[in-house]
Amino acid sequence: MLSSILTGIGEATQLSALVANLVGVIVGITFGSMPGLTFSTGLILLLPVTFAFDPVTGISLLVGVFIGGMTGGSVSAILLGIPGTPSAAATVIDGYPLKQKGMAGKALGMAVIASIFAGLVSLLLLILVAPLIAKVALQFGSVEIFALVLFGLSTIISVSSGSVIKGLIAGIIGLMAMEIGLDPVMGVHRFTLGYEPLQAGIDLLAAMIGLFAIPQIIKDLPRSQGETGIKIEEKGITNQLPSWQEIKSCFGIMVRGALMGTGIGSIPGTGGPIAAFLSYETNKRMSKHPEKWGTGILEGVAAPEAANNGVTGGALIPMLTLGIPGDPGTAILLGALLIHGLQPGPLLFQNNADVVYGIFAALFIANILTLIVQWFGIRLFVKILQVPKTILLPAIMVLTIVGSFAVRNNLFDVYVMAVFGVIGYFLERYDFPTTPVILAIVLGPTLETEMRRAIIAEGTYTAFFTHPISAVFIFLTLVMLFGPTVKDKIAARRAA
Amino acid sequence: MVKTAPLLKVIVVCFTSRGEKMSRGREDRQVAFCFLLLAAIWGYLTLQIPPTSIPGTPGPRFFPWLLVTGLVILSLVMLVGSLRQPADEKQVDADAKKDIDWIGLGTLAMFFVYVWMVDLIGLRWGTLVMMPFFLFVSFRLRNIMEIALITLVLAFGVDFVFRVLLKMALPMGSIF
Amino acid sequence: MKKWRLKGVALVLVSLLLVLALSLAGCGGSKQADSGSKNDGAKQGTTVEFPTKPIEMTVLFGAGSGADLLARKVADLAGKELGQPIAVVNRTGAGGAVGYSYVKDQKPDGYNIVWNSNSINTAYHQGNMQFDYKAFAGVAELTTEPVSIAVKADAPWKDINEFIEYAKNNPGKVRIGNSGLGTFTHLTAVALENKTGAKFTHVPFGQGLAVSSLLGGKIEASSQLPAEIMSQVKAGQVRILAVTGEERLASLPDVPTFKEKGIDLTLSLWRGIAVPAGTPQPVIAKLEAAFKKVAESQEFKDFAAQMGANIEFRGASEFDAFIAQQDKELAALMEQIGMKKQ
Repeated sequence: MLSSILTGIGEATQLSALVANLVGVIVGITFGSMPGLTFSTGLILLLPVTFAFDPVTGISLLVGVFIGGMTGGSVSAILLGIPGTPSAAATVIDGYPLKQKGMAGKALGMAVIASIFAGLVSLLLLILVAPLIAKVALQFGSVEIFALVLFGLSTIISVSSGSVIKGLIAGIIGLMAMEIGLDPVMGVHRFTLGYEPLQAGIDLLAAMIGLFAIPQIIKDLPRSQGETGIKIEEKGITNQLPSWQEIKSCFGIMVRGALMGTGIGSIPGTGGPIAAFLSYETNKRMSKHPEKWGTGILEGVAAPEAANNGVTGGALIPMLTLGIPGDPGTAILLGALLIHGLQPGPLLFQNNADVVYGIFAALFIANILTLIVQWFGIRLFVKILQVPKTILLPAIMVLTIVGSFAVRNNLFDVYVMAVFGVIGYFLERYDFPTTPVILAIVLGPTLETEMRRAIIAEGTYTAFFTHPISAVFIFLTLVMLFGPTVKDKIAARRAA
Repeated sequence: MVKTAPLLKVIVVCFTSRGEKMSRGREDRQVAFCFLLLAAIWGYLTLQIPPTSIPGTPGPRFFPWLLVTGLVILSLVMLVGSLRQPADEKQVDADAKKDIDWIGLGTLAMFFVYVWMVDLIGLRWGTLVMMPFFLFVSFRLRNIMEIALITLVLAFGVDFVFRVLLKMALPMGSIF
Repeated sequence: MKKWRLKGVALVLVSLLLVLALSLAGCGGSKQADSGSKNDGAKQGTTVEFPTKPIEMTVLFGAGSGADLLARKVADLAGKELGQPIAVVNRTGAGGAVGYSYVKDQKPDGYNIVWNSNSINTAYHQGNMQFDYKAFAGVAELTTEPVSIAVKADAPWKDINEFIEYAKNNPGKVRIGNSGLGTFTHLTAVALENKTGAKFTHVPFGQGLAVSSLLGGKIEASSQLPAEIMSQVKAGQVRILAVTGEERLASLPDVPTFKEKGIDLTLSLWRGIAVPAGTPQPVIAKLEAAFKKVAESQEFKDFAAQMGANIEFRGASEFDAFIAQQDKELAALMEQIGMKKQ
């Protein structure tokens, strides 16, 4: 036991593994922080490279990309208002206003701290209580996942600043878009208009890139002749980092976010975005000043960022204990293990304990490296805003094409991205919030598929109310939808 | 419809009572009509989906119908909400006329041409051809040197970094 | 302002030069590689100069899936044989139709190959694409994978016959998870119903998700490729009752086939390499030779066994005939369950 722990740590700390880890972290942060590119692209790109290495070195590389990418996603969300990964979509809500207030450095610093804190908490849980969490996660069948996703979707109500109705309409637009393509259960064509490429459906990443990046580019276009040499941000952007006091005040939020991220991440078929949005919502509700959320406060950055990095450890729980990948990112990690002749799952602990501890050590190192690289990178990232608009915006434009093409190596997705750019532009123009669209796009397919699958498996529509876990989530959803109104009514009656 | 009317009222009260601001009455009305139209189109397309299903379970049409219903209700709520506030319509009218975002719309249109060019001749050459237009029209650059440099760097730099260095697949052009 | 601009221009110029220099260096490198492989070709005395540049292999399913991992191993090994790397690119969607459409539209010069499987039959008959297997020319079949019917380790059924008996007596009670309606695993479960008279409730899952539902006790059984469920089997959490192969799987020697248990059900998912129809014969021959070597290598044998696949090599012409025969069989099966659209 002890010897395999030491061997594992030894393998993960050998020079080649450390270098691989660092390279992974840098690639991850770069891909995560570039609008249009995501760490999934980075993982697929580096997967073949790992064939040449020993297992722990190869895994170090991929783990670095995973952790670095999840953390790096916050950079463009905060600086440009364009989330670097779907998991960072919730970070935009408070991160971007913070930048507009000139507090980009603080927001980025908070994001890194929250991310790494949660990453380490989830790693600790992974090491100590993984089998226990896996047992709970297995209780989530289609019925429960449907209810959880529905609950996640109900956060639309609170993330749509301004008009709730407009937020709901935006959500429906997103859900409608995701229906295009082959029906997930019956395989019949829906809304394809007989056009073959539409069968593959709308890709989530392509839609996200278009929805956020294109309207942002247009919003930032120089509107008068004299504006050309100007940077995105003229006001004094400081790279001042968050103070110890500020970090400490977010401690509770980070803990809650980390736990939610680990829990949700451990349920196969859910993932980062839902964890981030639910953490944002829950922490907002528990806050002493919920009305300030969405106006640019550090808590609003800490909550989603802690949750989406909590997912990194959480998603590894079913992978290592059950051999089931929790999300597309871990599916690639699992593949890398298989390629090296290792069988992920409970047997890995018995047969290759050194590899398991090697992975744990690699995760720890990746978190620390990400903290160091990104913390010191903040000064550099903030400089992006000093690049003149006329260079930065065209570059983002080209990147949107590279990124949307890279998702499935398909030009059709590039057109989809452009169309979603138009949708995003008009939604924003008529004061519709775009965050609900992305929430709906991420959760919509799961919502529909799990609901129909659950009814097929259970043979009844009432299963959602008779299964305890699902009933709780449905109750929470109803509270979310009608709670504020009821509260207002009661308050009004009392006043009268 | 008889049943939906009171329901609608409840929903209107439910959501508009939360400090909703609906100052742009006229604009909202137009947008609501657009969404009603979209709901109609979506409803028509939903009828085109083959109604096959596993007996006793919701089929492929179930969810689309749910969404169409939701969209209709919400658009009606929006419509009713906008009718309630006719007061500041004149001022909004003036606002609406003032700002048609020509630069934005033009850039969007050019972006589609750009994507089409990338489809035809690949990312490298597509960027080379289209970027000067963006820089001149959207970004108001007038210095030819600057336009040429930014275009060249973006076209070849991106191609080099992603295709050569990172070995990623980039659009290479369908006519080649 | 002016000063900044000058500085910027200078910076841009320098970086441009750097890019140019590097890309020239890159070209130089690849030219060297080209001439190297040409020499190889000359040595072997073949007439065609192929391949002179990297080959691209389209995989129809996502990175990390069973199909993808086998493909990556094949690409890695075959690339070494051919002297040019084979890059794996995932083009997913519509049950494989997206990837097939892409490869079909590429130049038939052997530089675009597809990791082919029964999806070519199911995707066509389900109406996902306008063309069928005739749009491609087979190069080599490499592996077959049976479908496994698995239950939880503590399930009451000792063997497949008891399981079928229970399903017969309790029609619809047994919920069996597959990887999607109309997929090969679904067809297999339906074929099992037809052969035995049992009645299941088929629950369509996405890739891999059926396994966690099986472990969580949300469904009674799963119809999955062995690769998806191998680690749970090895760990003793899940038992495979039977596999649909002609023979037992090398990696699971204790698991019987349906045939042994008296159920006449043999179905296997084959995988291999195909190119767009019209690719010149010498090019196909060269590819075929390389993939044959891969199929014979010990490294691939070991990997395939771990992934729950059997090695079954068929050369180009044999492969074409095999696909045609498979197409008829699957079409008949799909017709039976009302999944056949064209």
